[in-house]
Amino acid sequence: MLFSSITFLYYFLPILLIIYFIVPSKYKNLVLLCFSLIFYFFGEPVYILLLIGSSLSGYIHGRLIDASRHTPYARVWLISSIVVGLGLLGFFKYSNFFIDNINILFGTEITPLAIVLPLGISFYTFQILSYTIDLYRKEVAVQKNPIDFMTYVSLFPQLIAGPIVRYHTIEHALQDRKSKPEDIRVGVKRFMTGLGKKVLIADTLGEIGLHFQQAQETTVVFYWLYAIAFTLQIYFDFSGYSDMAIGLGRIFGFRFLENFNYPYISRSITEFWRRWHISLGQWFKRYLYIPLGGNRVDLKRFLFNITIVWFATGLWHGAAWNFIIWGLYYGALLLLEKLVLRRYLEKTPNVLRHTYVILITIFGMTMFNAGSLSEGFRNIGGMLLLSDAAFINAETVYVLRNYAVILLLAAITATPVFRLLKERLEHMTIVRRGFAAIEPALLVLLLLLVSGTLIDGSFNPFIYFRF
Amino acid sequence: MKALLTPLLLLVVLLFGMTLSIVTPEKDISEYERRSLKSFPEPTIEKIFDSDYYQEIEAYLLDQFVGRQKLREINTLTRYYLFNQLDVNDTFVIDDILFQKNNPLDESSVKHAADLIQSYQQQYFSENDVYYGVLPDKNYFIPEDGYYPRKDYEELKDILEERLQGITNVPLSEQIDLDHFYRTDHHLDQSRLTGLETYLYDSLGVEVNPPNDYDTTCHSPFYGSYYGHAALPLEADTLCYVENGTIESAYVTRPGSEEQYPIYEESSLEGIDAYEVFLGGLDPIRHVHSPEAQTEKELIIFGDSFANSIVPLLLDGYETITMIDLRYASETAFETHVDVEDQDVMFLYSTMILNDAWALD
Repeated sequence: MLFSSITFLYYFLPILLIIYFIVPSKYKNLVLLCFSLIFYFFGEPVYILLLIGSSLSGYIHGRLIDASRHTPYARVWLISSIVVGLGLLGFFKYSNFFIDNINILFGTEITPLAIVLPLGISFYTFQILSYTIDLYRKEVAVQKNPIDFMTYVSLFPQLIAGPIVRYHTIEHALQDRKSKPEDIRVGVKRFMTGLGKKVLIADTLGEIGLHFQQAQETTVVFYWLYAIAFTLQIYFDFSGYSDMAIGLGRIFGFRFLENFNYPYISRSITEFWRRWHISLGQWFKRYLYIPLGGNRVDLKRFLFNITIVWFATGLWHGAAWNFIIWGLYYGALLLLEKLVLRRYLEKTPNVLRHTYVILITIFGMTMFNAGSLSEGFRNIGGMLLLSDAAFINAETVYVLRNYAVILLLAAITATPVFRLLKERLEHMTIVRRGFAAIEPALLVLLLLLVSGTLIDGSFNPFIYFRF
Repeated sequence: MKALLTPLLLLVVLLFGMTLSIVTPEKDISEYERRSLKSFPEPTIEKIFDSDYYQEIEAYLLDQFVGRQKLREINTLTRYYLFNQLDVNDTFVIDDILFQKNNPLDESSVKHAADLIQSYQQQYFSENDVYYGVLPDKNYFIPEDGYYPRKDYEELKDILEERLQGITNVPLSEQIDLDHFYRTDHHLDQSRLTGLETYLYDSLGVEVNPPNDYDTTCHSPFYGSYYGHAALPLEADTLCYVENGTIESAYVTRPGSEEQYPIYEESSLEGIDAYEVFLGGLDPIRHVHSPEAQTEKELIIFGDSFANSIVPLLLDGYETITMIDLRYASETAFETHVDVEDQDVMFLYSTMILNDAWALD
């Protein structure tokens, strides 16, 4: 089920809210679990068994690790949990990629498996692993209640597209939480903001991609327009989803960590990755990069560590070479910054640093968005005047004009300008009261706009669902 | 508790939307969008475990949502006024007239159409008087200096002239203007075309006394095919058709059947596409018989839906008009059901069809 669907907004959510806030506290996790499973079932009925199985595996491994504490078996059970988790992920997500490459390399004709990528498997697998690894490290206590543990794994707000919530983050809230009125208000506002970002901005920007794909003739400007539009679209799509997840979590009394912090205002790629998909970056840092030795090793090992981490980051996003190239591209850039560019960047004017990050990001997202490696290089070639495409034509001008305002609006909203302006204005009591007074009306209006767009539009799944 | 005002208000709106959508009787069709609306997909054990089933449910809920048309209008107005977009769903409005964004000129498509016409002419009509007429589509009248994309109509005309040498062109661009079109549809309003028949008779060398006047019957509201795409609070069109004694006595037959159908299929006025009132809509091949025609001449028209509203105007001049829609009629069907004698032959196509002519075969 999508957050941006009538099924979710007008049926699932109000029914859940009423039941959740009526039932006694001790049943709240059970209610969340049941509704989360329904939520998942609507999107992927068959793979619900995989979700339940993975959750039970995480739960049982947790109990086994805890029971064999201070014995060598604890490590065995930890390894077992990692093998099961990554094994399932590898089988469902990477089998066909592996088979395809074997066929290409060795000229074999192995038939690809008839499997579909289970929704959210990359996210919930990483959540389960965060639990078993942290439990082994004694950073969290064992969860003895299977309902509570399955609620954590399958919690619908972040089940399908993150953020990747470590068990540690909501360990206490799972046992004891309260939804205060102000939390509910803030959560609702956050959810609606995310919904608007997704439906009104990201999906509208996505139309530029459709125009590009259907264009009879592409031009250099159209290649750039497509790339810029996607760069903005993926930010509003994914950060919008994260806003909705964080907002829903807050309504139910959970505090998820932030997943985005205006990444496009970064002045270096290193900074960009501290602001983009924070939960994934933290996960890889905590569970892969640091265990490999991090940066407190010799240069050769450091290069190896970075390569492994960014290869894995690319591969996590998708079983295709363009994702791997995209990951390694960022790994190489981070290395370059750390070893060479840092001292120069510090002396470079901010405007050039921003331009550098934006350009790097646009090229990176072009590769990320491509259906294949060759398509990625073709689009980048088109942007760099390495194709036969004309510079501009009437169709490009039309699309540019048609989406000029939304592009501009998206570009401004991707920075904290509006937030800072609002904060500044709110220093004046009258403005603060004014904002508070019109907030309900604004959010209802936003809901109507979103509903109108959904009803008029087509099926627009979130981009990060495919991971 | 003041903090709960916003959440409660939104919850009320959500519950209101849900409840009204549930209690409001299901609609079978959307007259605005001219399409059938989804009904609730019946569950089966097999379907319940198929994710497509839940997409069907979502499609059903979207279709049957209370206030669907008003919410679509909100979306369109947001797109136009907040995002300052030029079109919504590829549809745009200029002076309360709806247009749909067309593709740029597809030269290969026009050449394909021209070659097809040429091959029919050479194979079947070498002894006949053969004409072609191109009806400009609505976008022909969009100002050239705006952002809205416009086909290269001159190039289209040049391609046809170059490839259809030996076939007489009946220029129609000067006979049609924007006022001849429905505001919300791409078709021509027949009641505003009266007078065109005189021009056509002259061009085809038919000597008749065209009727001085027609009786006009109107149906309202007529939501044209662009109306649903536009989702704007615009006034609907009125669909009018003209009659006289000749038209009233005329009838339509279809190959393989003796059954006679009226020139105006009035039952279509209450259907999804009221434009199907003209000759009953689309058909591969049909014969229009006019017992009160002033001549014994016959005409074969290869055309599209635009021809449907023009043919009734020609019934004084032709005793029989055979209409062939090459999108649906194969060459074999043509050979089987059409006896070629000394009929006049006219290829009458809209530029819309010529630019997307791959279905013509």
